[in-house]
Amino acid sequence: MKAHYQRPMGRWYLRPFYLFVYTLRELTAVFVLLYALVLLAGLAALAAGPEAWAGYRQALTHPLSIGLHVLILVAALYNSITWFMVAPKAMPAVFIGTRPLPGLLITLAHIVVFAIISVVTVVLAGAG
Amino acid sequence: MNRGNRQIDILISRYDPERDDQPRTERYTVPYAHDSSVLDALLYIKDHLDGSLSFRWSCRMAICGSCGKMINGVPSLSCKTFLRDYAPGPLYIEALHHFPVIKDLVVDQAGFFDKLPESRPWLIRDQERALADGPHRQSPRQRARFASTSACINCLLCYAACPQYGMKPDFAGPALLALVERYNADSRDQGKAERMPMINAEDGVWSCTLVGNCSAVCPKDVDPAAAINRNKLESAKDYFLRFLKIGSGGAE
Amino acid sequence: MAKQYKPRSHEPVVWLLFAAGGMAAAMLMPALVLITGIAAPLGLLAEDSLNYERVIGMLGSPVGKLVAFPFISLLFWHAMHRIFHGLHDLGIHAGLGYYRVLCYGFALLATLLTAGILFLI
Repeated sequence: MKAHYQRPMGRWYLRPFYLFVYTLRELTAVFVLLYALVLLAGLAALAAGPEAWAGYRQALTHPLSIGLHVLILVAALYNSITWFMVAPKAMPAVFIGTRPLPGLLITLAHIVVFAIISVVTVVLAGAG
Repeated sequence: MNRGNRQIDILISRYDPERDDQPRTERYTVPYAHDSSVLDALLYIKDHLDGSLSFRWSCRMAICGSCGKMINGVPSLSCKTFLRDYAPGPLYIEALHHFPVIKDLVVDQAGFFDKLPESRPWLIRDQERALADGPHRQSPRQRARFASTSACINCLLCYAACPQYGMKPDFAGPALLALVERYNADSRDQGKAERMPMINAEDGVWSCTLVGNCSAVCPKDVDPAAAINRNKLESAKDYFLRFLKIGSGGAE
Repeated sequence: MAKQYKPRSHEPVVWLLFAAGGMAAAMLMPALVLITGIAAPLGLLAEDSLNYERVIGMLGSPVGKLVAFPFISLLFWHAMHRIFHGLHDLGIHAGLGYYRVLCYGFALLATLLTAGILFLI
């Protein structure tokens, strides 16, 4: 009798079963890395003086930069939502009496904090 | 089985180790009614269309955990999945992914059961309680701590949903790590330190990347993803706090 | 035969950095990207909120540095941790030890750079 059949994994990460819950979430890391590099470049320009800072800000107005940042924003939002969705699984279990605190409540609490932080940050920046 | 008057096509991935190098797909047409499960369809095929079809099943009521199959690519208990939800069909049934296929829809479960003893799935006591002292007492609150993880029926759907297990069969996997958490969370148990080496290992919680599909497919709401990822925090604490305490788990 | 689970993994070190970076990115990144990458370059903010004096005033202060340093460096640890595990997911199983040094080494380098530049501001 022949050996058992072992199915190859193939490109499992492209199957719909994994693609939306996992693969796209992991892919957001590339955009987080890009943004971290943009911020690091900004710090370097800031340290180099007013002219370098002006040049950095000029570069950010390029249509390619705006387009890239729109992509980064979409990825960042996807990262935020998926992060808050798995948050209840990564933190210690909370019980109220004999009932576990519903994961959905923990996710919603994170989203509320996220919304407050985002609004406050944008308002403070916009106010100059 | 109430045969009903509707019909649906079912594609089944067949594998006969004596003649096939890899699985082939066969199509069957089965009658079904509103309450017909996928398991009912498989039994119909075996009884009326092709007696050579092999698959595991027993209780027909989602408690024995033996009838798990891939149904349209999703690990599911075939007794708990209904044909009406797949109309007009066809639906595609395969053996559970990530396990070696023995024949047709039957897989080799050794990748799970061989690892079972190492999780020490029994109450461990520093000092055994004497029979004369009566049973261990446990409050409803203490019982609630492991209510979800003790519901596991070892159906292995979570392993078929876990790509990390598929790529690395040495990974302890979702059900086993949920079982570890079930005993660690039990107020009667004192064996956590003995179970920490398994949690702390690369093949323990650290092979998990929180895909989360193990919890999504679990027919008993065990939530293995939560059990594993809470233990990442435990393992991280154990990693850094071991320098402060004696008797921490894990070989160097 | 029972499988033996040994030895202890050193993953907690990078996992804690990944998790902290993930929380920072999840909470702050969308708003920051909107401000620095889209709204400010398009001139959508009420005033010139990213002019040199204002930004240097924020990042030059001890409080500004204490916020900027962990935020930026943790983004690198978060991203490189996922990218490293992504290599395994893509089926690259050979030479993972080498990629581990490359990925986390890069995060460490970026951390040192962030600290060094902030020190100069």
